[in-house]
Amino acid sequence: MLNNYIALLPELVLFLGLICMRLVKLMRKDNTPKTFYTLSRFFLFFGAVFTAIFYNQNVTGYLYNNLFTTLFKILIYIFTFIWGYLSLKRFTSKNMPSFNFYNAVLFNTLCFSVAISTNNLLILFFGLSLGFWTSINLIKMEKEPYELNGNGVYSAFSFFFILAFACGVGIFYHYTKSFDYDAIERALAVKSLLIWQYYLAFSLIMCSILYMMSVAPFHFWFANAVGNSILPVAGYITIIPIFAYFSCMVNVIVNAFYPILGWFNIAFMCFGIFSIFIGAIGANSESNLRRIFAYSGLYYIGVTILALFPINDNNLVSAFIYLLVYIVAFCGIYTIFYGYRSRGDYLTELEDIKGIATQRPFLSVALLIFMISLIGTPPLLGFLGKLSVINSMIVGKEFVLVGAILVAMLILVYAYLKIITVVYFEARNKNFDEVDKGVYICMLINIILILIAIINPKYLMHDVEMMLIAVF
Amino acid sequence: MIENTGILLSIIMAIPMLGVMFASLAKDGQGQTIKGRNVLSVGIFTVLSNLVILWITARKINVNGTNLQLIEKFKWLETPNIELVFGIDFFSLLLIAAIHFAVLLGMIGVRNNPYRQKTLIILSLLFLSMITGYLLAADIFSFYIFFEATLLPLFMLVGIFGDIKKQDILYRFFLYNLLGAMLLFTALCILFDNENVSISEISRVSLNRHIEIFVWGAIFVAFLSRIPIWPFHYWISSVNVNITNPLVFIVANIMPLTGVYGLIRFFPLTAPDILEPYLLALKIISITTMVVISLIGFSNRDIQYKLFSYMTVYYILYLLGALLPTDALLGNIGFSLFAYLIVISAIEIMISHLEKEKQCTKVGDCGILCNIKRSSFVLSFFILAAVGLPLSSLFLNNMLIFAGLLSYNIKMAAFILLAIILSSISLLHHLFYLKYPQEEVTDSKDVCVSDISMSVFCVLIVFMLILIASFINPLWFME
Amino acid sequence: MPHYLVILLLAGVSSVFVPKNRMIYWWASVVIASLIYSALFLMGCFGSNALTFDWQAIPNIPIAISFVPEYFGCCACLGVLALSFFAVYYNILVTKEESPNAMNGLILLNCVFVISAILSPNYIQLLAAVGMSDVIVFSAINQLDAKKQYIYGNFFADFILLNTFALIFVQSDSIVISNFGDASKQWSHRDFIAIMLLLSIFIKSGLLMFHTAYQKMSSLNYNRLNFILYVTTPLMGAIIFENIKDVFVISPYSYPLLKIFSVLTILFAALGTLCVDNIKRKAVYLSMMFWGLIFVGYAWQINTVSPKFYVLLLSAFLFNNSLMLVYKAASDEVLISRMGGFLKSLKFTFFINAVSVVLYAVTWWIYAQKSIPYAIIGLFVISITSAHVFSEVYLSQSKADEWVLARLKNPLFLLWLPIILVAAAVIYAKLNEWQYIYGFAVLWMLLFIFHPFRKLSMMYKYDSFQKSDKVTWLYNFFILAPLKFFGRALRLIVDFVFIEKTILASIKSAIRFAVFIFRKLHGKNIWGYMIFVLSAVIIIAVAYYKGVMQ
Repeated sequence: MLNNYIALLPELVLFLGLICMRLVKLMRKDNTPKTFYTLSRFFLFFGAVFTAIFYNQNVTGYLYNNLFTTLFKILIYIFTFIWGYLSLKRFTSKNMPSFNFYNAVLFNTLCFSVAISTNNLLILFFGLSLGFWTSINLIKMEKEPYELNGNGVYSAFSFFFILAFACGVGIFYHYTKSFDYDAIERALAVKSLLIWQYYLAFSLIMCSILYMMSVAPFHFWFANAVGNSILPVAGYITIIPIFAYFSCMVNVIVNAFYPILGWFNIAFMCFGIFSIFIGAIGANSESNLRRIFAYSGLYYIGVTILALFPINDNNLVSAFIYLLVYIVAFCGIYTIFYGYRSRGDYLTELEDIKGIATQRPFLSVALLIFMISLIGTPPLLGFLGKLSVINSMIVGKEFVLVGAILVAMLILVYAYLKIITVVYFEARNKNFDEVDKGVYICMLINIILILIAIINPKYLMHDVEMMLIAVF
Repeated sequence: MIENTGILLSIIMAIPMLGVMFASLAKDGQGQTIKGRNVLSVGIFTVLSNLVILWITARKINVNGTNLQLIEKFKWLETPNIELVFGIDFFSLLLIAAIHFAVLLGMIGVRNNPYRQKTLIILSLLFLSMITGYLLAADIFSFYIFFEATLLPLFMLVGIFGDIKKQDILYRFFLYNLLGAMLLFTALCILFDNENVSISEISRVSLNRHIEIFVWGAIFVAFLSRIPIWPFHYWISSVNVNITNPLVFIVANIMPLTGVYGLIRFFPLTAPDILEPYLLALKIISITTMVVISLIGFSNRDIQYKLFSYMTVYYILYLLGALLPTDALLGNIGFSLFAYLIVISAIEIMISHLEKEKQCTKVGDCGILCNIKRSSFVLSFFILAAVGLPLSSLFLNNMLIFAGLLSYNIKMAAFILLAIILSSISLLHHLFYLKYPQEEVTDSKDVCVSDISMSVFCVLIVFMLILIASFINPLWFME
Repeated sequence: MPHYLVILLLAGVSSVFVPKNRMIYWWASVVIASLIYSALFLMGCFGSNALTFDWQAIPNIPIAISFVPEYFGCCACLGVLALSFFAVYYNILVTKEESPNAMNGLILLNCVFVISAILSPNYIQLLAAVGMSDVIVFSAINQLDAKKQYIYGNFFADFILLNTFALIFVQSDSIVISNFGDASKQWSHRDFIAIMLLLSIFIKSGLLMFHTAYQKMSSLNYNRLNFILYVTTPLMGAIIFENIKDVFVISPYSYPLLKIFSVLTILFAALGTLCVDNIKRKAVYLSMMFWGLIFVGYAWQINTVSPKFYVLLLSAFLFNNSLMLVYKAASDEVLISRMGGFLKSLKFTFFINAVSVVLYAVTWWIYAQKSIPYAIIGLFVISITSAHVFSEVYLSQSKADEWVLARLKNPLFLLWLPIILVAAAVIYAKLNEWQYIYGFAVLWMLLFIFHPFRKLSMMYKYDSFQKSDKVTWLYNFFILAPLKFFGRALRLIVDFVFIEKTILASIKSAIRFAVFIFRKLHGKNIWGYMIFVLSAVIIIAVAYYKGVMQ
């Protein structure tokens, strides 16, 4: 009996963490920003440890753990851990309460953990929807109502897509009488019994997940959310949830909807192409650093989607490598944003960081390295991502897609060049604050990862491939 | 003495990277007294060290060998199965040595540069490392990796030190080069997915006709993107002519070499039928470029543009020479390029010296050489060598390249020769313009243009002797 | 390299780098000693095979360079050594020379390369020698305009020569000049090859239309000027012709072209000698006339290959130097229009001048006597020009200012001694057919006394004629100006209109338009978001239609 539920330990630990944080907030009066970080760190650590230990344990009927799910969960833990640490710098320097942030982070991790492992459509819906809704609500953190102009519209759209997700789940349940992936797959496998309602439900679920991933044309909320929120939240919603959405999408498609996936590939392709061009043009239309990178993130998500479909083991590996490489670089870039400060304010506009290279050369070199990695220029890690995606597309004879990706990349690079120009080539017009050592340490680790991983990536690639194909 | 030749190539690539590390730790020289000499010394020492290793390598390889030698292999990826291979032949060795000499001259040219010397040296060494890797690459992926990797240090150098007034020009320059790199990458991926072959065997990969057209088209465009080919020479020329820092100018003008070298390496000796239309188009475009750029250079008053036009014309000459259906000229192209890179680097550092003096003393170009005998002598020597008088290995080796071109198509060769004459006369013309005594200059007694220092003069004399040695015996360093 | 050339090279290089006026005589004696040693060595080693070497200038082509002095080669080399010796001699004695040491060094270096060119069995050696000689002469010219014109012309000539030899190389696959004879009949582009080679030779020897560089040299010191006119590049032109003359039979155009240019050169040079006022420019025209005469011999294929050519060359060189005596005697006055009536004061100088004319005429006769008409035409031209010049100086009405007249005196004996010595040596040598020389003397005296072309002296007044350089103007107007115009037009059309204003402006506009649309859709307007959602619905509908319905 206990054996059947032991795999729930990571989720249980996270749940305990949430209760514990709530209790501390209620009962302890001298809480500092560090208090909740310390608590969340503790529970995240044990959550990660238990996830690793019970990497292949299942909870009867609902949660299945395998190498695939463990890989994504561990990645979420690691990035959450790092981001939590960096976020503390901001809360400490501003002396702002951190409970809401760390509580939401822990809750999100719990939701995502459950959603990744589940093979039940209803649990998936709740896991992703709750996680997404929490993320959306984080945007309001430390903001006055007048600062959230237009946020209501995004909340309405988010609610609409969660509703669509629910409808999709409901339709499947109505016709298959089950939320279980296997049961749905069995129902969809009989071609003669396929009805339009299945397609509709599938479309609704996919559109909802794509909306959460902010794939174009469902991207419109993302740049504003990132641009308007505080740095910890902006970084968090850019870096971490994408792993959960990606893995959940792959899992549900492979294990539940695979029989009816084929017709949707063209839609994925269109969404991917939409994303890369909107991302590239969007990055060029902005002058706010976070918004620029939000749109450039859209480009990378687009490429990931293009690389993933039609789904097979090769495409999955290449899409994942691409995703991982871009998230690593983004993590580095958001780390650098913690160093971009003047008179205590975090700088977000291009105008604000003119000539920063002369005063903060290491930050600037790091930014350059991350951006070059994002462009996919060798010998940085980004090249590995580009290689895996382009190579897999060429194997699939998708030359038009390769052309589209390259053209969009050129447009996107134009935006990066503007950043490089401002950082390096323009004269400095202000003094920048000292950078916290923790920021430097995180940045250095990231750079080493980017520089070293490329020298001998075969082990990484090999192990990742082994873990990813466990989903099939 | 290094006995194990198996690591020589890795050492050649690694030394500039070590130089980058040491340079980043060296004193920046922000103070007035140091002037960044510490980091400059690191740079010069790095280049000299690598030249010694290159000399050792030269003595270990067979000069007449046509295949790559001292092969080093590294297993890089298993899925896809990619092995990075490095090798060297005498041609690439000559180019690497010439680039090292050119960068060394550039470093001497920036010895008094007060602006961000550390960044300058670090990026230059980074570029040196990347281009050395490019010239040593023996498989398609390492070739591509270094091909694209050269772009970033160059962009940073040009951006920081290039005095580019319009950023748009800089962006275009980068994007144009990046487009070329991306096309090359796509083409190489297609080739790789069909058959994992070495560079020299690419032409034997059997591809679908449409794909083959695309692949070769992409390869041609990729390499041509590095050469200021008409009508896309504009943004490369716009970038190059604005650069006043001699080291950056030299580095920027080594870049077309990557395109020329790429085409030399990729282009098969016996061109398959599929390449005929490309080859024809390439030749027409190349010759048009030569004539147009030489005419523009001829009518332009700016010496940087004249030098740029001269270099472009010569790069295309080497390219056309290399594309002839014979590999007998490769050695001559190598020897000629060796002298050519040294000559243009020396001319550039002299020009930048004069430019600096012009700004300090507010005198014009005309007659600036009148009272500075060392500079006048050095510049005259290098310009005479550049136009092809018998002062360097350019002279006789160019003759054989011309011979090849003349035998291939005399009408085509006539246009090439016209372009060479025009670009050479442009240089000569400017030399006399600089020497022509101007009344205004002699009138103002206070204006005193400084000559190059004795130490720099001695270094340049050494380079002159190297050039003369290369004329008497291009294999002088093997004796 | 043979050690005599090495000695010449070392002595030359070291002399070049000696500070200007340090130990002039000591260094000059080193230079002269090296010349004498070389001459003695050459006389002692006819046909020695020990002087053939492999040169590794081009690794994939074996180049056997040779310094083997056959009989003619040895005489030619001795001639060049003698000319160099006299050039050094005058160089030391002319006090106005700025840097005699360096000039002596350049003379020696030039001597090395001229000897290399004479002895070259292959055109690689010939090319290298010609090119190096150009560099030496370029260094020797210390007047900027002349330097400029010289290097433009000679760069062009060398480039043509190089490429024409390249074209020959790919067709014959041999660099040996002696193989040209038979092989040249099989070549293609024969007319092109012959014309290009001739063009290069014309430029080098300064024939009509290619003489402006030498004209500009008239402001050089007399010793430098004469050295350049007789011992350097023009001589190289003749040497090249002599070496490769077998090639010219391959084209029907080469000899007619040569005839036209050489005759026109003689006429133009003679006219120039009669009309120009400046004595140095006259000297240039006289040398031009000399080379015209030599090329007439080549054009009519009068077999003139003999050591006599170098004796003639030496005489012409000394004749030109004898003009210097006048110039020196007149306190460095260069304008003939400010001379006249010098005979009274400069009888001995006149005598030296007359001896130099006789020497010139005699050596010309010795050289050209195989074709009597050729020899007579030469004598005729020499007599007209020289008689006119000396008549202007010595007989015509004096226009010199008092200061010049008061200071007139016969020059230092060292300046005229070589003329007397060489004349004595030549006259001592066996010479038949003196009657032609007597005839020449009579003709010369008549021309000298009656001065039939005196009317031409009115041309001295026209500054525009005296200073104008029509040939350069023609080059500028018909070649350089159109090229510059094309260059600027191309820059404007290609760079500015086509690329900047068409291609780049279009790309910019497209991107700006895309960004404009993007901003419209991503504004605060909810309809933008609805459009996105709608587009997604349409995409899914199309996918459904394509993937499921069909």
